[in-house]
Amino acid sequence: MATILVLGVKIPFTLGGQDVLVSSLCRELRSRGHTVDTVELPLSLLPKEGLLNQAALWRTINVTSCGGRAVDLVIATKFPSYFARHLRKSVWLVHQHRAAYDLYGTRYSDISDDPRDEELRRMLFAADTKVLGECAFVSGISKNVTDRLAHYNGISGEVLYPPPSMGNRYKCEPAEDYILSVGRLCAIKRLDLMIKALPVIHNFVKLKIVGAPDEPGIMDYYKNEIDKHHLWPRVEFLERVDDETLLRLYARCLAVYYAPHNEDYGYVTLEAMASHKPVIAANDSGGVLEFVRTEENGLVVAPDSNAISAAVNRLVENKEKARELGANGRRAIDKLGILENGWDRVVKGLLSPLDS
Amino acid sequence: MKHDSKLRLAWFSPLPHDEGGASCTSAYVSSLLLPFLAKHFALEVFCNNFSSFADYTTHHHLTAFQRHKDNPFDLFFYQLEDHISSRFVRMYLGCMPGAVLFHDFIFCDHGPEPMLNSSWRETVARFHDESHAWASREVRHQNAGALALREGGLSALALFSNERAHAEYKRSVEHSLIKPHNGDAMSFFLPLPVPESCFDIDRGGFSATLGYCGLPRIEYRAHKFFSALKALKEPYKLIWLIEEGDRQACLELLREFGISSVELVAGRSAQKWQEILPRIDIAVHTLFSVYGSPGPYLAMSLASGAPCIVTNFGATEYLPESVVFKIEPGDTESLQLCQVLQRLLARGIAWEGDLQREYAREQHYLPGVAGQLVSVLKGRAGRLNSVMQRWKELERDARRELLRESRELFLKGEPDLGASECAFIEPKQFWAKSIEPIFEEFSWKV
Repeated sequence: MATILVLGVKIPFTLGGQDVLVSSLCRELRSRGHTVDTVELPLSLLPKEGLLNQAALWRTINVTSCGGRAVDLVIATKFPSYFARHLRKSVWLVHQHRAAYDLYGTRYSDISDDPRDEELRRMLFAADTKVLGECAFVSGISKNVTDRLAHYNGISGEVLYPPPSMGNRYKCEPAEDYILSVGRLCAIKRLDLMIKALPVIHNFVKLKIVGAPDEPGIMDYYKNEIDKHHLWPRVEFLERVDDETLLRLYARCLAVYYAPHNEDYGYVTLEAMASHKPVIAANDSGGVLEFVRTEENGLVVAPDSNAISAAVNRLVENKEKARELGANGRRAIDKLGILENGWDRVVKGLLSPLDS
Repeated sequence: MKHDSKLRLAWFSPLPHDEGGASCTSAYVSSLLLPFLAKHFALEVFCNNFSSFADYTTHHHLTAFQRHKDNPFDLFFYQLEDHISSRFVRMYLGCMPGAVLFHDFIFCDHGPEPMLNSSWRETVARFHDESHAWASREVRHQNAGALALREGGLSALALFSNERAHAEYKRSVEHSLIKPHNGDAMSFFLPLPVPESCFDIDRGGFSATLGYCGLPRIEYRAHKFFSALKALKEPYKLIWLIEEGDRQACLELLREFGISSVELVAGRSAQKWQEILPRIDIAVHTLFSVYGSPGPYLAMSLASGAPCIVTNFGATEYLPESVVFKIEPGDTESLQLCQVLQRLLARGIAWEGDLQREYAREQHYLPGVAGQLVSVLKGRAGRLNSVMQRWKELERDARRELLRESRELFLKGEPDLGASECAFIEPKQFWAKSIEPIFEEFSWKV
């Protein structure tokens, strides 16, 4: 059995997929008899000129041994954790600093055309390519992520889908008239499109939102939209909920709205499918579309509120269709074996450098 | 560096296989000009996805800087228009200056946040004068506005496919990377090319068929056009080239005006228009907006010898009266349209089209346009090269400044621990002993 450090990146006061991934991975490694702990450093994305320092700080961390105990393997996850040095380093890549990659030039990136920013982007690219190239095993949490790695950094990696964190506990109950949204409240998740769709959705349909805001001004923006259309009776912000409540919310929803822009992976997709619920996604939702197939197990529409409202209304007016899509979703992930033995595959891959 | 003595040219453009590429002028121009340019330059094409384009060496635009570092390009070339597929070009031309072919100079799409908050004026000022301060990180640089002042200012060589855009540039761009030198112009009008086959279209028959490719929006004057059709005494047929997504809107408009003798052709693109042209006797290219231009459609209609009706405004205002039928926008627009259509239909015979073809051959003949572009690029290569050399110095300068900012950020606000009993490492020492070597390792230095 090995001594393993999982390298996580913590954005203080937020909770997202990365946190779930790190804690789930540690749990699974321990259950298989390994000695595991985490090393997490806080990451601040602002100011952007500090990003080089933060990457360099990770590089200074010596994780070959800790407290007199030799560390057999480190598993890096997200920028800049993979800058850490170790002879046996696996990466299960969540994402690089996306503002310098696929989000560059979009409203989701703060990297401007200032020559200093362009230099920053180039320096990060080159350094990422170097340190990711040091890894004995390279993988990504989805094909979207491994494609990004191949296209931008010229490094190929294996796809290892993270299984949903609550394993076999997902359940299905008769649907109530609400759409569920789960995830961090930030612009890229595009919850605003769902809120803007509500006025033209049947007015008995509610929207339940699980997640906390992690962008300044985002709640004001949502509240303005809700005020504008007098939607407060139909919208409920639940913030963070415990596992049982989340399972219940998934089990009883009519459908799950998850239409972020070019998502890396999207735990929510798998959780919805595990709960036998259809997913409403957008045609540019990235990793989500590795699972959601329109008219098979969900509805994939243009990322605008008209298309989203039409999709929701379709499911409201034809609940049998919603059930069918949801059931297909569950069958799809059962076929993939993610819930049953997804972790075996992940652990096998990530620990493969120990074999050499 | 040259490849087989050809200058290396990096070509940035939306391409036909991009989302929306089929209806995009830049993609159309790329399809036509690249085969000519490939004879004179060692070409690499940069676009916004990872698929390849024809037989050209094609890359994602974000990898351009690495390719430039490994094997420097002599020229960067950008195509820009008011279309979402051009956003990546608008972004990138600010990172590596080059020649820019503007199809629009007034944009209704202001671009994403990084462009809205662009400090391009400070960058241009520093380009010319090293003592000018770098833009403050704290300040928001308000750039909202329809004119492409940023893109015009950051162009090392500005080309325009319509004269109105060129006129706007000359009138409004004050801060620019380029300054006139020895009377050499650094901005040119370069008309849109048209495939040679358009000139061969036979206008022998006459079937009273009108061709229209305007979008069902008010600025394309469809409502005025259909109003005119309703009042027509002569029989006619209409072929309307539309985008499939607009079908419903088009049908509603036709119903509203009671226009029934219509063939809707979906898949609006220059290529589709070229297929329709042999069947058209009269082409209608009305547009009343400060945004946009008729694009290649009007040029192709002229090349085919068809009589063309345009609005006397914006990009088409510059066309000679002898070549097109101009309609004044306003209260009598429908009446004017009706009168022109009536006159043309009543002739009952095909339009000779010699004037139109001659004009189009002078302006839009593909080998001619390609030749002009090659000539301009080669002729200005020296000046472009000196802009790029100066830009390279600016990049080094920027890197130096970024590294200084990083160091200062690290040390900023660090309490003076020297006197504290708890102090065991001084921040400046930590920087020097631990962080600087990392920066060295990654060549994060000037």
